[in-house]
Amino acid sequence: MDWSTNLQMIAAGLAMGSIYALVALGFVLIFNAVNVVNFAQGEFAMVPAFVTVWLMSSLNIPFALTCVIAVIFMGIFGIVFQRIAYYPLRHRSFLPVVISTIGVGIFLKNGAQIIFGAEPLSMPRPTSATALKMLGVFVDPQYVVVILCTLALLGFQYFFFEKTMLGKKMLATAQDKEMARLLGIPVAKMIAITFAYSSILGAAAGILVGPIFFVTKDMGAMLGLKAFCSAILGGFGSVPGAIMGGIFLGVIEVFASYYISSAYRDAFAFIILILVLLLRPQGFFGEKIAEKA
Amino acid sequence: MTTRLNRLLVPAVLVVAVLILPRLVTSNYWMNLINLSISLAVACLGLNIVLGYAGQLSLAQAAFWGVGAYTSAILTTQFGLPVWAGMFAAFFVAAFFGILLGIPTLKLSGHYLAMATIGFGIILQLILVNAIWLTKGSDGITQIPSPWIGSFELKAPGDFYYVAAVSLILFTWGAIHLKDSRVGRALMAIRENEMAAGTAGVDTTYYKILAFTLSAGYAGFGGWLFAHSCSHYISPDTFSFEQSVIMLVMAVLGGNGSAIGSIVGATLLTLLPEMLRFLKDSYMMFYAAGIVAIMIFMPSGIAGLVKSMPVSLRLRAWWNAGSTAARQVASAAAARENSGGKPNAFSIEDCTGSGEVLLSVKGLAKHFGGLKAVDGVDMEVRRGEIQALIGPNGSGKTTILNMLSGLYVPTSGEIALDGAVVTGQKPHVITAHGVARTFQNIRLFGELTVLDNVLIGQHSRSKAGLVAGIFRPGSQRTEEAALRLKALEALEFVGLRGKEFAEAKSLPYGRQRVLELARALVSDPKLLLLDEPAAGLNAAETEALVELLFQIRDRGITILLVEHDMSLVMNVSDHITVLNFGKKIAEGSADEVEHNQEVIDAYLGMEVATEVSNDA
Repeated sequence: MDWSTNLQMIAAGLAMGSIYALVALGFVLIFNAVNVVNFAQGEFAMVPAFVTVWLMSSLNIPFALTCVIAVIFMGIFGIVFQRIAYYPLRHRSFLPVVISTIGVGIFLKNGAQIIFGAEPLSMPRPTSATALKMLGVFVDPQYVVVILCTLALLGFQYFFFEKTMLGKKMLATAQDKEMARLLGIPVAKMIAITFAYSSILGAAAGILVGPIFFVTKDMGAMLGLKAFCSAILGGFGSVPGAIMGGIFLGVIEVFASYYISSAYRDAFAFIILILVLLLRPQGFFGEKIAEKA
Repeated sequence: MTTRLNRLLVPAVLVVAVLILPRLVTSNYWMNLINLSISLAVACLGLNIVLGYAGQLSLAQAAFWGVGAYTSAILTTQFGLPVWAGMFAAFFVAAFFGILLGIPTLKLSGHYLAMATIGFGIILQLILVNAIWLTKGSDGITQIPSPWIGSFELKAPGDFYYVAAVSLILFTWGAIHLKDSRVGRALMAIRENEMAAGTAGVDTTYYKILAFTLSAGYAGFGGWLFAHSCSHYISPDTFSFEQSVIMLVMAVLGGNGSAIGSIVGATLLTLLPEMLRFLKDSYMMFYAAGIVAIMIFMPSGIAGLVKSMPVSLRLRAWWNAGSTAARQVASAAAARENSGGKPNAFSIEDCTGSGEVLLSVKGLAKHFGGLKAVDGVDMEVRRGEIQALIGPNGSGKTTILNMLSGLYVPTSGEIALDGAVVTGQKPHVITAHGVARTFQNIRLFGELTVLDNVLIGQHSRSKAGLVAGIFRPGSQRTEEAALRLKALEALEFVGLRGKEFAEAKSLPYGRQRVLELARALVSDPKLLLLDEPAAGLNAAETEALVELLFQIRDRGITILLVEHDMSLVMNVSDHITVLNFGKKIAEGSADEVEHNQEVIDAYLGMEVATEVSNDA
């Protein structure tokens, strides 16, 4: 139980948690807008990670420009995605949409493998590889970048939804599509923008996590599932819930794999999830919704 | 009788097809694939029980498949048990894991359930990888033995095929029998409308766990078939989340809810990738694109496509004509024509003791956070009367019905029915005590037939369990016949004769209301709760309803109804209780209530009421 190890783990946990939070936010925004759980959300982070590696390594494009291209690419990607996986099924029940998003997820994974190969790729680091000394412990500077970028994005998002007209229109669409339509808000467009924004959040997550792990076709699957866990832990549909859930999960996971068992690292998220669903199904921030007789 | 004999053609054709297949397929490679598809088909049949029948999404089916495979593989390779013993172990150990999954996920639905089952599957797979002492970890288990019959080893794929084919036929037979039994109907009721299933007498908790258990058992058996055939080798990679997804797609492609559909789906999706081999690396992409396309263009799967074809319509009509249910309906209709008199209808409550207190409610309250929907209500309902519960919108009428029928647990207070305290009991328990209800916004089992809806209403008055439902001993057939007879009488009573095999949701609105009434009546209630039975009915239908209400009362069934149609309330009620803002403000006969100042105030608002009384 030495103090500096714990601090290091907290830093690592916060960084991983931030990534989960970004992907979880993507889940929640889409869920709020169209009541659909997008099981390809993890792939929204895998695709931009590959795009970034490719742009930087093969075309030698500088990092800043790469980020801009990746974000624009993912914005378009999100719109195309919703057009294929969601739009044709928008009047149908929960199951077909779930399966169709899973199908697109499998498509993207195997597509990535064909285009970029099966070998894990490493993303060039935008930060130096030497550890930063903070509060007396050494911390990977990438962790600091991850946490700061996530905070900045959350700040931007708060401003966007609270202060801009577009953000308010998107919120109105999420709350009541019929009413929004009556007020002249182009609902279909708002939904498309929500998908675009959610996939841009994925781009941020993919680019930020890339330098920490290798970029592989499978990186999205676990990321997506754990982000989904985070969203449920926080209370599905709640934006602060998704963020807190992600960070909570990130930290718990690092500690549990250190103190309990690293072999079962990926199981902790789901064990916690099942416990939370049993004891407090509405999550930390969610409200219990009862069906009316 | 000839249709009955003709129906034997189906098993005959099946037996011939099963025997001939290995003669047609000579390559071991394809024979192995066929065995694999059968193994997957059995697992998908299980998925069809939990998803198609009970409507609960499970994304852990491959994990149960793995549990079955590993159980038998470990028992036969490490402990030297015979393969046949492994078969039973595979089924029961997987079923046990199904209970483990079923219990924590009971309260969950939709994406929560999906997520919990994914988590469960991933945890199981991690255990397979990491519990090396037991499972040999990622290396997997090799040289899993084949089953023996006497001194003959069923090693060749063409020989093992017979074991697989016989199992598949038995499991399909079980699944089809299950669907048309008391247990199967209870599962489908949960799928169609869980709340209504509870008030119709179905213990939703028990049946959901049962569905998960049985589904996992099927998957476990499928796993046994997999472990002891093909490569005789298993490793954790096979039993992944992706494989669960593939099984889900197989079940949905075949047609959700159709047992035969699941088999077709499993076979197609096992053989199809083989035919797509020429696409090399990109075949998974085509596969995935195919999944999306199926979801978009074939919403109800292959079963849905086939169902609407003229050939299959005629085939089904032919098959159904021979069914026991159809013959019973026909003979009941004939009997009715001959006798011409009134039907003797469902069993009649003993009318003695009329006037004594049947339902007594003391200090009943329900608070939602700060909102006091019902706040300390005392009321009594006397046996043999029609009592009305009225009040302005939001006064707590439906909340009281929900507490009486067990859908809400009261915050405080006591509910006693016929002397027994039933406060806070689950809906099916209260139904068994003799309370039935209808809903304000009709809650039928829409995709099921009219007859099935009324059969489910008798759930608490019948007994046949899972085993009896599948094997159909004489006692089960007698019970089914009695249930159908009573259902037919109830349908006759409310005027739905001739609609027995129509889908409930296809009925016009007014007919749906009386069907709901019939479903409630067949549970032999002492007390019938009706939530706005006249809502949405036209004048003629309302008149017929009033007539029905009197007839029901005359049969000794006490009625408590919530209704906004004042002329109906004043017409039928022996006694009226008036609520406002969760409190009782008046009660008495129609006449007393009509002239009660507080009631007038509550309905018209203080000011208007004063003006009205001044004018008068």
